[in-house]
Amino acid sequence: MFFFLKELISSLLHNKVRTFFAILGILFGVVSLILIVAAIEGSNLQANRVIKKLGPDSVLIVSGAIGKGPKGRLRNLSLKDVREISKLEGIFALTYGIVKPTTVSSLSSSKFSAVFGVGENWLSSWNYKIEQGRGFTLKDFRDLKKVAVIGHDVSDFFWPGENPIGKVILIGKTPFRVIGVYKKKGKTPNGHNLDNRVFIPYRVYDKTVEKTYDKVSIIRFRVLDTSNYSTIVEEVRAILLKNHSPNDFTLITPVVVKKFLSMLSATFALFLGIASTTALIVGGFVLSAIFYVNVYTRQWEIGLRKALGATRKKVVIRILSESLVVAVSSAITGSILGILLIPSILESLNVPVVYPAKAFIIAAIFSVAVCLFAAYFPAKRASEFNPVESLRRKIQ
Amino acid sequence: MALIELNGIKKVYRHGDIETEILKGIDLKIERGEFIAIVGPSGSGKSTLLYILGLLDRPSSGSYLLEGKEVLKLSDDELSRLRADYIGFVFQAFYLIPYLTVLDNVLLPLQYLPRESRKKKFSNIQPEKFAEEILNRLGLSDRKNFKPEQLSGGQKQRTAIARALMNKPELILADEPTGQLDSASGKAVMEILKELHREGKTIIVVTHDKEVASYAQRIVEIKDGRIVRCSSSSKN
Repeated sequence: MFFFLKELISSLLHNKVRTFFAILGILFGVVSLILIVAAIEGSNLQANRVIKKLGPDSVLIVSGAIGKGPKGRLRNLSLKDVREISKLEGIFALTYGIVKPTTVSSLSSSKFSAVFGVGENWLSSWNYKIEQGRGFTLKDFRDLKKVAVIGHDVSDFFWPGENPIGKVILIGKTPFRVIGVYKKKGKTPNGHNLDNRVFIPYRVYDKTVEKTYDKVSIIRFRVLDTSNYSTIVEEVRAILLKNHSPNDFTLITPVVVKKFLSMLSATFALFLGIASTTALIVGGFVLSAIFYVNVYTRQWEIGLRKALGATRKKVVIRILSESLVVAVSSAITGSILGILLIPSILESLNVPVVYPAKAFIIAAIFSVAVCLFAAYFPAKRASEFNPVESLRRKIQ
Repeated sequence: MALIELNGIKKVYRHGDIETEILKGIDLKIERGEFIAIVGPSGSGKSTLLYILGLLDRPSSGSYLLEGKEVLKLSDDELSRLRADYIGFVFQAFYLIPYLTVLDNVLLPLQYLPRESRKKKFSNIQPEKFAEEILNRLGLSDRKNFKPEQLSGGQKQRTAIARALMNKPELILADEPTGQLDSASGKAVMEILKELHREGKTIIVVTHDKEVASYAQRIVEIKDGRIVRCSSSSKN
């Protein structure tokens, strides 16, 4: 076995140029296959992240049609929608909000933050976890308390290293008491800073930051029983269509998100899939041609091996083993190249960078399959060589 | 029982409509331990006969008994296994594999030896050790890590003989073994074959060289596909 391997490798090293081109032929296919699987995995991961953030049972209604630029400034929705939706059965955690970038200041300094006027449940519904102090209470909403829950970036800016609870900030010109700080949330996939936010009760926002005229930017609720999901979504759509034109709002559900993102990844998959399959098939043909030329130029060697007692099977195994070495070398080189290329390619596709084992396994399997398939016919031909004639083919 | 018994061996080649009869009915009995030279002019069919004897080629008709068993009914793969076990070839053109060292070239036939034979033949010696012993004997131990291109013609042919001996065959077949060698190297190669014969190996050499043929016990002369004379050599 050891001798067999040693002999095999010597043979491949002896024909460096041939081996190089054989590997090169397969390499392109391997690399593109790795990249495509990684890209698909990355976009699936992104879809799942978005859905997880959204909640699998939640429905989000935003102002404006999807894909029409920033929606934060649009206020097509209203408290009337909220009230009508709240009457539906089978929903919970209904909340709504409005946002405006506003100057927030303390006595000595000021910064720009996203100030949100929010309904009850907002913090829990969006999964903001209180780290210090407390969240809003019903009393805060009822009594129009000027209280704020702030993000880490805000608290670290005004009171680095201090406990901000009970401190006062000015939103616009109105003083608010800080009652809570939420846990760091990082950034959205689009790069929005989730920790530079200030939340205050909606009614208070209306009286201090700006007049809302009962408008809201976002409505969100969750569904008690997900089997009723589509019925409820249709009921909500009916309410919204009654109050607005279809372009005024977008209903975002996990199904929509998934459909949208998987549509993207299906396009990816199709395009890159065709590209990499083509590359592999072409590589396979190249390899096959190389092996045909090879078995003919080494025909005397095959004749000799037969004279020494090689059976057909041994001749086939021998040549398939050579192609297997080519396959493994291509898979390894391709994987290294893939690892090096994944970050730049996936980032340029706006997909989270992932190194899925699946990608490398699929690429390796394809590489081996293509190589074995490509070498099989030359190998079979070689095994059928007549030994006496083959021995006469030696080029002196 | 004879080692090999050929009866009525004929070989016909077809090129389109033209049939050429290379061998026209060969009867030949070869005893174990014989040293035979097959001589004749080129085109006489002596190489074809050697390849048939070596189970590399099949006759168009006739029978071939190896140790009393008919071998022409066997499949190609079964013939391959018999070759690995019974026969060592030495060729005019050496046929050493260029990317393997001398030692690896000698070890090459081992991978084709059927497992049972391998167990039997190498029960008391490691194959690698045996290969080194042969090389040592043929004066090649200081060349064992050389590539064939670094060897002289005589060294190449001695490597080829070492390879032919690797699987401990019953029969050694040599096709013009001195054809590409100068007379001194040729002589050395024939001396080796003679010595192997003395040790009990059966040796068949095909040659058109009278000098080479004179090493054999028996000279079989072929002309136009027939054995025209069978004689004992004066030297033995």
